[in-house]
Amino acid sequence: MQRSPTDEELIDAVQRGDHQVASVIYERLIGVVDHTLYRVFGRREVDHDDLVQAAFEQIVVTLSRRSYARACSLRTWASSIASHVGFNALRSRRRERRVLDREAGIDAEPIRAGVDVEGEASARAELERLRVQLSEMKSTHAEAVFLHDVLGHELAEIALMTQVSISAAQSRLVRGRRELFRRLDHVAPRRKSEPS
Amino acid sequence: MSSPRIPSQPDDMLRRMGSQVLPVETPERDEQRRQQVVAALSRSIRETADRKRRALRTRFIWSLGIAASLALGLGIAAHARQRSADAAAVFSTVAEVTGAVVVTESGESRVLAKGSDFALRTQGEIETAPEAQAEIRSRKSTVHLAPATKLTVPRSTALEERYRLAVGRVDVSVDKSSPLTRSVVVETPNAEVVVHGTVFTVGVASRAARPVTDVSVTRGSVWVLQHGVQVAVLGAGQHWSSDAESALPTNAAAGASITSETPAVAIDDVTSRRARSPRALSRASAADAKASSLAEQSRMFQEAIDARNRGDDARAAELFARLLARFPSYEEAEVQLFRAQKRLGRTTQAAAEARRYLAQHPQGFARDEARDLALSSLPAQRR
Repeated sequence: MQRSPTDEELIDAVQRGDHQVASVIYERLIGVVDHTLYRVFGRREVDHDDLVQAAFEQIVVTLSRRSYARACSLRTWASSIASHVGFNALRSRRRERRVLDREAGIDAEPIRAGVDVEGEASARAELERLRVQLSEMKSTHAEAVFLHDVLGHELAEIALMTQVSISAAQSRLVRGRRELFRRLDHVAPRRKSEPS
Repeated sequence: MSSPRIPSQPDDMLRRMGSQVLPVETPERDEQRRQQVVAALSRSIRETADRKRRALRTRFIWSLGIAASLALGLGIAAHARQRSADAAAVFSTVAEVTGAVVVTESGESRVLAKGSDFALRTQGEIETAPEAQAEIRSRKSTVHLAPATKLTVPRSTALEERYRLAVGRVDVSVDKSSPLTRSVVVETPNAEVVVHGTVFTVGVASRAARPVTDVSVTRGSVWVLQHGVQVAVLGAGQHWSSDAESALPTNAAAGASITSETPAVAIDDVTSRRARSPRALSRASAADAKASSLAEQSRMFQEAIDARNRGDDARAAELFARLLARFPSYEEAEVQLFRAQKRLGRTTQAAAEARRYLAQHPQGFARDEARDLALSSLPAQRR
């Protein structure tokens, strides 16, 4: 059985320009990229594949430019890149004021039968509101909160991913949480009858 | 009826966001996305590597260009420095060689081929065979070596360029227009000829087992000193010999011109070593009287030249006129007189002096200048 290449070997191959490793990289990172983008948007958007592709291309560029310091695993690095790509796309859509008009993604999870439909809809609306607030926050703060509280990365990992010191990462996280909580307290839940 | 839902705390919301279950995609859709992304990824890896290679190549070419430019610049600088050092080291060149000419430098002798050049860097000794000739060129002078001549050429200094003539004859031409102010000195066993801008010949021959120095001036003037005292001023065409019989200046060529304003100096100590017989004493007395007259002539000329060099043309004209009143037909003094008057704006007097000069020296070295001046002012007046 052929041994799968290590992260180091994959990175070296990308830096050499060996495009044969593209499928190996895809297999290794598609899970974390897909997962991260799904968390950012709460569903698979119609252009989900394009975002996946953009995230992978960004990963290749950072590996080639040696921006990746090899201090964390390739998967962790990929989740950081994917969240960055995802939040950029989310902010862009917010700016265009389309995100709330957009129809539910093609993979929007159907409300299961037998559960509290109203409660489920309310919970989804809350998460949507959370995403909106995150997308309107300062990107470094929002990404710190997302990476830590949503994806569950440690502060040290976040510091390595975002290439700042641990104290700076912590500062971003604290400030980000404070801002998010303030925003959620001040913004009332939108009712369905209200225009978006 | 369900109770109204209390909004969740932000921490709960973030936790729920992180625990959302991803819906499973159909294998077809998964494969479709895989193909799309892998193709794009492969292309991206290739293009990024290509860009990197191009950037590296560009950087390499630039680095190579800069390194080559630097190396070229350094090479040129080093070459120029080396050439400059070489040029500085060479102070004279032996050229125009005909016949057998032997050059000895730093104890190493070599025979120069006909037409070849040889650069002297240290003291050199040049010896020409009875049928051979050569020329030594420096930035200040050209020395032509006649056949059977032995000349030593020490390294030039800022003050003088010295040649030691042991035997034979040299024709020396000093470039008056050279920016170098050093003196050119020809040293013989019993004389030293110092010049600043003239053409002359120095010869050393043996008469009665004694070296005799002969000096002939082609252009310019030469001062002869004895025991540090001027004893003669030789003009163009005049000759001086260390032999007392021919110690008096003689006109070797009528109408010979004098171009140099800076006289040369010859020092003779031969006569002091002579036997003091009555006849010799009588000859020496006559020679001393003439030498005294020549010394006076030189002193007056120098005084006038000094006045001219100070820019005191009026005084210079007066002194040249006084010199000519006492020593008529002194060609250089005549030329200096009409030049001084011309500078003073005394065109009529200058023209008269120029005509007078032309009458006495129709082939004189300043004939063209005198002719222009004479024609420029009419009617003519004679002094």
